Amino acid sequence: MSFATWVYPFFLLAAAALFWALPARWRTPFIVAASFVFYSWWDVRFVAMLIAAAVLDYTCSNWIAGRRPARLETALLALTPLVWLLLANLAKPVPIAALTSAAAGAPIYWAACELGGRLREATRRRYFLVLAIAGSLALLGFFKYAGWFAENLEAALEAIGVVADWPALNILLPIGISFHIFQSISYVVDVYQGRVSAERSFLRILNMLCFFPQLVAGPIERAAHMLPQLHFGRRFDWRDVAWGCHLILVGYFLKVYVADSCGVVADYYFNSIGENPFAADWTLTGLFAFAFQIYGDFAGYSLIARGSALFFGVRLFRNFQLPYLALTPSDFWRRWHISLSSWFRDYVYLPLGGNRGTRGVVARNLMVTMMLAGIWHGASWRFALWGALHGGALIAWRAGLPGTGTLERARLPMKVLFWALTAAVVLAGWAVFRAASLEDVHAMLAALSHWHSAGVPPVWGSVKWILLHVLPWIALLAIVRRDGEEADIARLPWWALAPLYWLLATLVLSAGTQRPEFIYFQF
Amino acid sequence: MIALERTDLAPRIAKAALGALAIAAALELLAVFAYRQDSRVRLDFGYSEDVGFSVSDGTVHLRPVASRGLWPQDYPVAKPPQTKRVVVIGDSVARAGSYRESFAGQLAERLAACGARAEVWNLASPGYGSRRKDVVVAKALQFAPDLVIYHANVTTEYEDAREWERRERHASWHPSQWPEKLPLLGRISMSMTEKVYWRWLDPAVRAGFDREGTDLDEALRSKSDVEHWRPIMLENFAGTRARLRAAKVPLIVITRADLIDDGPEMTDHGLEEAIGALAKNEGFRWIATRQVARQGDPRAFFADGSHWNPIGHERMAQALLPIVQKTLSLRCR
Repeated sequence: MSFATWVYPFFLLAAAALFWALPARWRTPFIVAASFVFYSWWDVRFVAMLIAAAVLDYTCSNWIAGRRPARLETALLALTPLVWLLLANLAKPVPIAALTSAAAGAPIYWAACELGGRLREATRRRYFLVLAIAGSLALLGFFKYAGWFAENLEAALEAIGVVADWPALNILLPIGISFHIFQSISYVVDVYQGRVSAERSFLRILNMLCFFPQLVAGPIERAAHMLPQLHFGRRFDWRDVAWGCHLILVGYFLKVYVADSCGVVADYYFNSIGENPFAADWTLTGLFAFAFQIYGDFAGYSLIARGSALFFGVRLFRNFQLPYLALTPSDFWRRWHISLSSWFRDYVYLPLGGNRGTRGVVARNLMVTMMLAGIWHGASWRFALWGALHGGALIAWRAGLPGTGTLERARLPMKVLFWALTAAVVLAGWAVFRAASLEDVHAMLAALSHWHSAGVPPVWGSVKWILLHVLPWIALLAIVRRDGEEADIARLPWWALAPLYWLLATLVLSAGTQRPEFIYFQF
Repeated sequence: MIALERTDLAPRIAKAALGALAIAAALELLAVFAYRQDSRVRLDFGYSEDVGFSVSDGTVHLRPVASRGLWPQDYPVAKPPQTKRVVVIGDSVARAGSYRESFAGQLAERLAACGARAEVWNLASPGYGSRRKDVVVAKALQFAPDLVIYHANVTTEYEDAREWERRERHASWHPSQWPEKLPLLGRISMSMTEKVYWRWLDPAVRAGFDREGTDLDEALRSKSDVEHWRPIMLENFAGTRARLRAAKVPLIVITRADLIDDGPEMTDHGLEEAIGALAKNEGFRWIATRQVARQGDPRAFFADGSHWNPIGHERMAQALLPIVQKTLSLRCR
């Protein structure tokens, strides 16, 4: 189920009402069930993958913490993905390969746990850490990267004269897989490093991984922050719901009014680069349209997720803090998709050495981290290039350009100059990110050599359309401080906020009835 | 990472939300009184018989309302003695820039000039295709016309189809339609679609996006596909002819033509052959726009590639005059 459907508000209200009506001990299983319904709206079969990730996390984290789960418990848990697939098969046919894999995987996993259990403690802890990470990455690798890997391998073999003509892999990508797999990995690593204690309730682990407000596109939560909240010991607090409604309204405004409207123009431009002789006017229009589309789409989603979680008394991380006001590329990454950039900082960049070492080592660490962050977004060299572009910008900035702290204290013209420079890097990145191929990126660069497009629809109407949908948001941001976040428009007095709420709701409700899916669901 | 939620602002938010609800309620209520027409009429998208027609004190008032853009006209409900009533059905071509400028107005003047007692109602509305013209014909028959002049066209059929889809969707009680049923919000939403989205964005730009849930992409692509729309138009037109036959009201058909790439060549979208064959079989009269426009330079007939200028309307009225006189057995005094 998408937040952008009409079903979702009703689903959220019904789920919250039932949640608070239930005794506290029933709330965890209820939220798990609600999350399964939410995810099954797309494809009931893929819930098995969430269960498999939770089984990995639960058993491995307990082994790491020195608590040996009972053999029968491990065996039964290892069978749950298979049981789910058999039940799902009644609703939607499950491929025989998936059933076979789940059936074979259960005894193999059980045996792997038994084998690990016989190791000495220090080795055992490392063994289960590797098992959990490898299992999670195997799920991610199979669903997301297998096709890409096969394609590249085929191309590489062809380059050395070997013809590898294997059938194309048509693997369906479970929605939001990268988000819950990363959350799963961070939990096991945190248990290993002692940052969080292993959770004894399998249901709570399952809940942490599939809590529906943040299930499909984050924010990528940390166990230390999330697990204590999932005991649901809090009492109902209307202030959570009020603030949640505020976040949801601002989120829908960003998604429906800003992102989807800009998306009409961005989609037209990027989907027809190869067919139309666009010049700089259309290229810049398409690029700006996409910049606001992806920002509104993802920041909007994150606000709706946070607001929805508050209906259950759960607080999620902020994921956006006015990213387009960044003065440097590192400032941008402290403001854009914060939960992902901090995940890569904590689990990739710092373990690689972080800022320690020579300039060359730090540059390598930055580049590796950013390229991995790029590939996290999708199985394509374009995303790797996008990551490399940002990595390059971060390295260049470290080589001598003023940092965010210096610029914060600088005079306005200096700030504007570096803001524009950062914006140019970000826009160039979006061109690579959104283009369908590297040929399209090349065509976009070539288009910048002349201004007026000929033989294509006039650009002015599209420019007006984008301005109509972006300017109200830019005007609203005047209320927010630079170190604030999107939802800070609530700083206005109530009498100014009231007409603003009416306006936002009117613009959302009058923006047409068809909603494209959130962009980040595909990741 | 920060997970700080400003729940301390909740009292302010609650007050503001109540204020917003009050503003919304007040504005919606105001819209109920401020707008002449019930918003449900607007949501019929031209498929309601009564839109634009109102009767009071023995007079029928024709007014532009909702998606029916009739020129303001007033006629007695009961035909005055010895007076013939002619109604013109069509789209923006027949509607023209004003009633006086339209061939309906010019025909009325010509008939009056030669002493014939006749009313010529211009019931043409922009964007109307055969399906909505049939609804207008059904309404017009309630006023006992003596003749119907029907401007036949294929290129607006897609608009009829799209508006029918919109009407069907708006008629549903799906939650997505709830806001659209409000008097003000519904109008804002429609204005955003019709006055901004459709006007500002080139059809090619919006073809990949389906703002209203109708298959706009298909409709736009089919717009130039007359082969697709002609049979649909002819089928609806058959219903209209049956309706007129049942009411024993004679019919004159004008087939539309458009300039090809701004002329001087014209296309009739294959209508002349189809209508000509029907006219031969069923015995109604018809006149081809191409034939009238060719009586000089066709480019002098058109304001743009499709709509006629005042000279074009005048020439059409002139061409229609003898046919109307013959059909209604009117003689100049």
